Amino acid sequence: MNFLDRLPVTPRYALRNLARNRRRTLLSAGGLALGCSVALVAIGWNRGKNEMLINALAEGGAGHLTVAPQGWLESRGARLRLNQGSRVLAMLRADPAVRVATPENRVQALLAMGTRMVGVEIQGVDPATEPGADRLVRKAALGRYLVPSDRQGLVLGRTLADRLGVGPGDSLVVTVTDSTGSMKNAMFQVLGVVDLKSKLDAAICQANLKDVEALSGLPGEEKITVLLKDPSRLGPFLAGLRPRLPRGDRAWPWQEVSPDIANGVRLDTVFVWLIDFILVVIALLGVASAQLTAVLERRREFAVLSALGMRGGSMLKLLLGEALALGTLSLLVTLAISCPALLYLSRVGIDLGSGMDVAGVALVDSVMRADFGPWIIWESVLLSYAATLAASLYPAWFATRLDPAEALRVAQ
Amino acid sequence: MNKPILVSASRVRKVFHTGSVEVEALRGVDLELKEGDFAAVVGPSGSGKSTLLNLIGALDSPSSGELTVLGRPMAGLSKAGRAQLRLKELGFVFQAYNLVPVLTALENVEFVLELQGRGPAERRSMARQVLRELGLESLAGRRPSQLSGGQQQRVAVARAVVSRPRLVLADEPTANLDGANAESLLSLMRGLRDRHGMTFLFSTHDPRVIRHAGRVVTLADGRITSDAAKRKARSGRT
Repeated sequence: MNFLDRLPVTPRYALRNLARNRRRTLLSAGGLALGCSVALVAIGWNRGKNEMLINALAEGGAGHLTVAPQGWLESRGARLRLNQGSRVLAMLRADPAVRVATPENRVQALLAMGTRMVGVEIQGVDPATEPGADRLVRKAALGRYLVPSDRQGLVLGRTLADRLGVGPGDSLVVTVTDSTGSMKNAMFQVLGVVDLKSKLDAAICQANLKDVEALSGLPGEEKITVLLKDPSRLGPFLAGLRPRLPRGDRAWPWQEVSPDIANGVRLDTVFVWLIDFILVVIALLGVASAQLTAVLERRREFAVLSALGMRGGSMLKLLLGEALALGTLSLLVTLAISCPALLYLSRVGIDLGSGMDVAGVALVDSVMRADFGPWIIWESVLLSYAATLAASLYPAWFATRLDPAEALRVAQ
Repeated sequence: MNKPILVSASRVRKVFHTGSVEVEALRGVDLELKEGDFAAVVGPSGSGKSTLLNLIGALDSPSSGELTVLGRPMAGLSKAGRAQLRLKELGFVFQAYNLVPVLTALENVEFVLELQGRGPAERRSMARQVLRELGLESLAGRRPSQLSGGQQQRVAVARAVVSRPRLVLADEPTANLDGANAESLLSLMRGLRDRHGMTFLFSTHDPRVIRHAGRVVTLADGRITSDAAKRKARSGRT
């Protein structure tokens, strides 16, 4: 006794109907699978792009979350300081969920080299932890990155260095207005030049946090950037962190710190789903048409089944059973098409060229890759079965509405 | 002894509407069918034979008049009620056999029992038993395309009688069969009538069926023009 013989007659009937008109079955399943596969590849590509964008944003210095004084999100004021920055920093660094926590403060400055001058914002960073949080500056194209013992050293972006005509070893005059409103000058030495080949090269200017404190006359940290080991745990981590922060200090997720990027990600996702929906609807309309033709061809058969006493519910079960069988075939073809395509796109990807940025976020890796994971299985299942069932609903309803006497008369 | 009346039709009319055209297929038919009858409705094409069978078979409703089948007035019966009546108490045999092509002979017979909600063991045993009774046991695993016309019609009869319905309706059952197969099928159906007390009503213009019938009802232009019980039926019952 084979597998089919163990089933009740109705599912056997439904399964064998797939082989009744093999060409139509294959075309229906193939058409639907193609639509679902394109939709899945688009979803996978978008997920990969979003993940890459979020990683580039987080590891480009923005982190997964930012701890800063109340009001910082609205003003982004460089003069604001955390109430108990050192304590919060120590607490975050001791948390096993945290990959890296690094402090930052800023000061507006004028850099001068001979007759050349450029206005910049100097970022004061902890040289020991900053490279772990900001992969843009990890590798200096010329010279080296800051180390904790460096004082009055600078790392510049390539564009900035070119405008000033400086390179590693050159000295610059840094002029700032401190917290009391007095002008201050100091000599700084260029230690390294970072070359991202993007517009960010015109903005990178980093120094030791202590030097920026001395220049601005404002001790302490303006904000702490935090990267988590598991970014998917951001929500629960934030919920646990907020009550532990000192009064007046707040924590925000990257979506609130960079709302433009978050909205872009959301918009892209909605757009991809909309395109996918249209694709699948087009495919399912084709299948619905084929299924309706099949029902019309089997008018007499349905009339006979009805004459034998088959009720609408049983007929609906039979036809939805046929749809499930078609959906299974479509699912297998979908997986056969989309898995290799997504695997290729996730391993090899597409090289967008150097200096590429997406939505203003510099991509450190110029190769964009799709996401490949277990989600493909359940989204394939969802898409294939939902599309075949939706495509079969009208033909099934049509079959249950057939008048058996009329159908037998027409068939004769 | 008075046999119970299974079908009672009084002034039954059936009118079909095709656009603005009205076609009166039955014009006031009066008929009674008793348990154990082996009756044939004869008449030329378009005389209303199939329409009468469809009405008795609860496939259609009369436009006017009273029709009672197995004690149920057709006028008040819902679509679901009619389906239930067909499933549980009526059997159908069609001219073109109309077996499900993707099911084997055994599965075609079993399918009706599954629709009735019977369990797998019971329906398998009942289906095998009726195939054995009709000499089809060796063909149980074959699909309709692997059977001759006569064999297919015997499977169709097996499907119609497997749940022992009280009334079996057969629309031109021998029209596609050769002489030997038609004779064999009719003998088989008479045997079922004799053994199980089933009632058979045929629509036909096949003289072979008329020869076997215990009663011949003649329809012409939607009216019964004669209704004759034969004195010499092939078995003792008429």
